[in-house]
Amino acid sequence: MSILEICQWLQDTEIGTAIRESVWWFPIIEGTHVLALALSVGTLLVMDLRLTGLVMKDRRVSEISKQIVPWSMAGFFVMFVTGSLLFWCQAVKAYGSLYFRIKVVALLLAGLNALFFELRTRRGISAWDSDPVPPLRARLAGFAGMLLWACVIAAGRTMAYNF
Amino acid sequence: MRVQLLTVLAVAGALSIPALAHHSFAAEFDQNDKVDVVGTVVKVEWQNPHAHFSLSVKDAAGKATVWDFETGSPNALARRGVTRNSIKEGETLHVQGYRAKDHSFLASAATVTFPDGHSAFAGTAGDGGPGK
Repeated sequence: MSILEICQWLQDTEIGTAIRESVWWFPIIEGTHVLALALSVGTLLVMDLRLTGLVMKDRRVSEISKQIVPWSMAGFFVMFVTGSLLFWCQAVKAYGSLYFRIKVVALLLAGLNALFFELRTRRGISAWDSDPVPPLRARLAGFAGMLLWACVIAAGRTMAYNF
Repeated sequence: MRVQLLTVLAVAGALSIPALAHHSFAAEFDQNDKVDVVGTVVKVEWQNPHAHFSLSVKDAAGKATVWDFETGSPNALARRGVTRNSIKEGETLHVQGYRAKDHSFLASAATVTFPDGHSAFAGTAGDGGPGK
């Protein structure tokens, strides 16, 4: 079974068809996806701006992270679930969309960036937690996060114009 | 301070790119290239985000061309009284719309007139397309 055949099977399932042909489910799921995006990336932006040393310089990075990141994660969870449902109902078109592929790659890179930060850069946070401007590797993580999420959003929006 | 402001502007600029492109009608269809055809429905795709139907249109010489019409979302259509059972295969429809900019046989359906004579706006409202 090729990926395309799997996509075709997926969107032909009862749930995929129901969402695709729905009067209400699709707009509700799509609207929730965008609201969750605002929550997730909106809060993530605060974290990334602190990491780049641009905002709330008088607050410890760990303090902002503790308060902000749970909201980013909750938003991401809702965004991921709703995004999966949107993919489910139009899998063939999504698979064939160049912008969807760009979006997936940018999303994976954003995930790797966050993972690298959590597993490596953050280990030594006690040395720079209170610094108004964190060290270069932390600033880079912040810049990369903002850039990659901008790519994810731009690609996702452009993808929808070709539907 | 200046660096901060520039960064804020740069981030805001990057995030507003998709907003600037918000004109799916104008991106795909030409409002000066009007289509006015009568034909038989050969296919109906009732789906999000845009429903489609195909019309087989015969010219004066009897040669048939299949036009693909894009409409609004099922939700937008439902609010104008057009449901998934409104457009039936085999039925004859009169459709006025706007052709795709790539000059293919794709058009955005604006006004659809049904066999019983009533008509409905089928296009994408509020999307930059010309009036109902």
